[in-house]
Amino acid sequence: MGAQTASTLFDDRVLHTLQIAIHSRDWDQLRSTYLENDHYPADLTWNGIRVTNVGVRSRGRTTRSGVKPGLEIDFAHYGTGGQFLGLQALVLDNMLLDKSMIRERVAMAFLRRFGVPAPRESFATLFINGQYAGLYAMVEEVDSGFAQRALGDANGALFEYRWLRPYYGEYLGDDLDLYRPLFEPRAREYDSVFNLYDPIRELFRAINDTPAASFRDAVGLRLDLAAMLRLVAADVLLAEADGIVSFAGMNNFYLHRHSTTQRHQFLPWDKDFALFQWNYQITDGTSQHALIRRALEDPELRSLYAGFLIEAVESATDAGWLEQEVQRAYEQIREAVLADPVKPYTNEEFEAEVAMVIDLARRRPAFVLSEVQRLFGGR
Amino acid sequence: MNSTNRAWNVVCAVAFIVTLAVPAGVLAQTTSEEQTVSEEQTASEEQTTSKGTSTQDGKAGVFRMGNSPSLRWGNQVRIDLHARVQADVSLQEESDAASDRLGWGNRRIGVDGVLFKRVEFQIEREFSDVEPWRDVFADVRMHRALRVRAGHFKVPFSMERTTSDFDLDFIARAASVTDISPGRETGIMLHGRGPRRFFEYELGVFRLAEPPLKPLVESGTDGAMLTAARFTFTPGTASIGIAFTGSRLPESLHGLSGHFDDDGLLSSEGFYVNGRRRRLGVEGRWTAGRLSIKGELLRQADSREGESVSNSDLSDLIVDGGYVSGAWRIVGSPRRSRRSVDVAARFERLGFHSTSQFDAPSLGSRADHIAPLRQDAWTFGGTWLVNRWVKVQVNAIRESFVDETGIRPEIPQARWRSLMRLQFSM
Repeated sequence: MGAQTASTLFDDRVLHTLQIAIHSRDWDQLRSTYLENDHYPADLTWNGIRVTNVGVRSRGRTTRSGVKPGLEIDFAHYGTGGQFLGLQALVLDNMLLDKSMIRERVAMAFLRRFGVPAPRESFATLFINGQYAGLYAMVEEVDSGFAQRALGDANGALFEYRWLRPYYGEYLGDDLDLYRPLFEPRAREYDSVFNLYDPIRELFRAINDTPAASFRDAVGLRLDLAAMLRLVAADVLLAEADGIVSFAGMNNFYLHRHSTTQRHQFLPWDKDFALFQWNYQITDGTSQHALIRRALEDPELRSLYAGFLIEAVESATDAGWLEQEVQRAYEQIREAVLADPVKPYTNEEFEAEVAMVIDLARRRPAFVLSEVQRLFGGR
Repeated sequence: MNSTNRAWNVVCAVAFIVTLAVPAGVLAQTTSEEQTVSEEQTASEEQTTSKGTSTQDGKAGVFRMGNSPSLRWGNQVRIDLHARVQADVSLQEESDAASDRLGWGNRRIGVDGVLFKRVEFQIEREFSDVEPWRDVFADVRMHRALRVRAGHFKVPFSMERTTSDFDLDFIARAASVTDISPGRETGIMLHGRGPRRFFEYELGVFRLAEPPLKPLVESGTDGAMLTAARFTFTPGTASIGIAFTGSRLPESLHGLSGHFDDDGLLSSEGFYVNGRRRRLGVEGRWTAGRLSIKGELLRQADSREGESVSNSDLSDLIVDGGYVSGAWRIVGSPRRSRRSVDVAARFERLGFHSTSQFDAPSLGSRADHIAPLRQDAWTFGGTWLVNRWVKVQVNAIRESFVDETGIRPEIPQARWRSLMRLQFSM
């Protein structure tokens, strides 16, 4: 056996096998209280490597289930310094809302291919105490380890965005407590409220209150605008309806603040609503979104964005990458999905959904390109 | 009271009545010295905390005032009344308001005595809502080597645990003693001694008022039994002893909470146990003139049957520790004295770990190798026996925690504490 690394774990060319040994009562308890975040001890085995005393908990927001629970494996829950292949945690996504079960994995692969810092993912068949418990996506946790790998900065602040109501990036006011519920710290949790949230407040103040002429410079001090536009362009190509620019405000992202530059960067999360409609309008949600709307009012940023959109189309169509990736993912998981005893949809629904995604992969890039040319007139 | 409780009480009562019905001829075989039951109390000073005055005057209805008020009816009945109170004061400057630095220790009243030269008894009540009835038992003497005690009293385990709170060298018992030793339970015990107390034994069976730990699943069959045995040998001025207990342990979560976590820092650590709880204690004491040295090693092993992540057995969860202490009498007779000043020092240790060290150490509740944690403490103290009733004690205690694995995110800092106790005992 060669050296095992996190890259091996997230090698999406392989359908992995995960074994979890968990006390039968704990597993029953986890499933019956799947809305709670209680951790249970377990042993995890992958590729012949057994990791003892990991913490397992139910996870997810709209995807929580007592039948096929989404799981988080926390390697450090029962002792500081706990890790596996350099990872502090591993997410097992139950893909409950995606009948094709390939959207999340393919979308994240495209984001990384397109140069967006995105979690690594691969598929795994999961066995609980020797019993097949279904197909899962193994997702790299967005934490300080991820920030170090993807951004070269493990010491920055990191927030998980919490969708509470449609929020389009407007300035909420001076009170820092207005921002705290929306941005939940995932690193530097013990910093003061002021240190954590004052930069976020000032970011949204700058987004909304800066005159147009100085928008790019003022906001650019606090936010990596190019990285943001690249992510939005990728989401557009992926017909992502539930990302930073979604049908109901901002959603599904982490916000990282670099420890030295103090600039923020959006990081994508949860792509199970991507690839959902081939002709999803590329401007949907942008007019309401304070950040996108104002950024696209700046000619230089608008041109940059248009370029990113075209680049995304080229990346998706290069050697038919998107269509081939969807097809490859489908073929990789088909048998495992058909055998999945706890998926909340039928095999027929799975096949029909995959067919729809394959159709989208064929038609979406051309649609986006035509829309870009119509709206932006080329670069 | 459930049926189990009733059945157990009936068993105790019947056994006790049988012992009372032993023919007097058995007693006639003993010597007069042996019939002076009260003298034997010193063999178990922790369980009979007061020494009455002689009952040999033969006069009825006499009230006497010795160490405590005493009523006599000839030499057939002796009843001593007791009242005892302790007040503790924290001497730390950083402590909060004065009211927070003051606290009551034990506040007890009770009676004990001897009936018809055969039956000792003791009834003691604490002014507290928590376990208000302390010792409530009768002790029948059939022979020097065979006595029967029934009621509610201390399980015979640990020299220091079975020493009265009012007779300790320090304000508090060693943490390992408090933590590992069982307390008072309802049961029946055979005990006795050989000539010159060279050999003493205690064999008891008790019904636990509550399971040792809160069961994960209430079975409705509480009242687990505990068996205990203790043997003590006293060759000359030294004494050594060994003690065991065993009891069933329901499936439950056994955490550091209640062991170390005065500050609640470690209460999140819990480990599943199931099966049996076994305790082992070794004790020793040596006295030479004004110097006395004693120590104990104690160990509690909880089995973890079927508690691994794969439902197999885990290695035993161990709580162990001990202490060694020395005391020097500066003022007063080396033996019993109504006025004395002692200085003493004690080193103690309390540890928490598992027998397995195969896997990487972990804080997981089903870890085979539990990351060890221990608490070390030094106590330095002085005891001033002002007169037969009043005692003053001052202790300075240095506690530190050791997490050799370093995997706990936070452990309490080492700290000094200082306490003073005022005690009145009659």
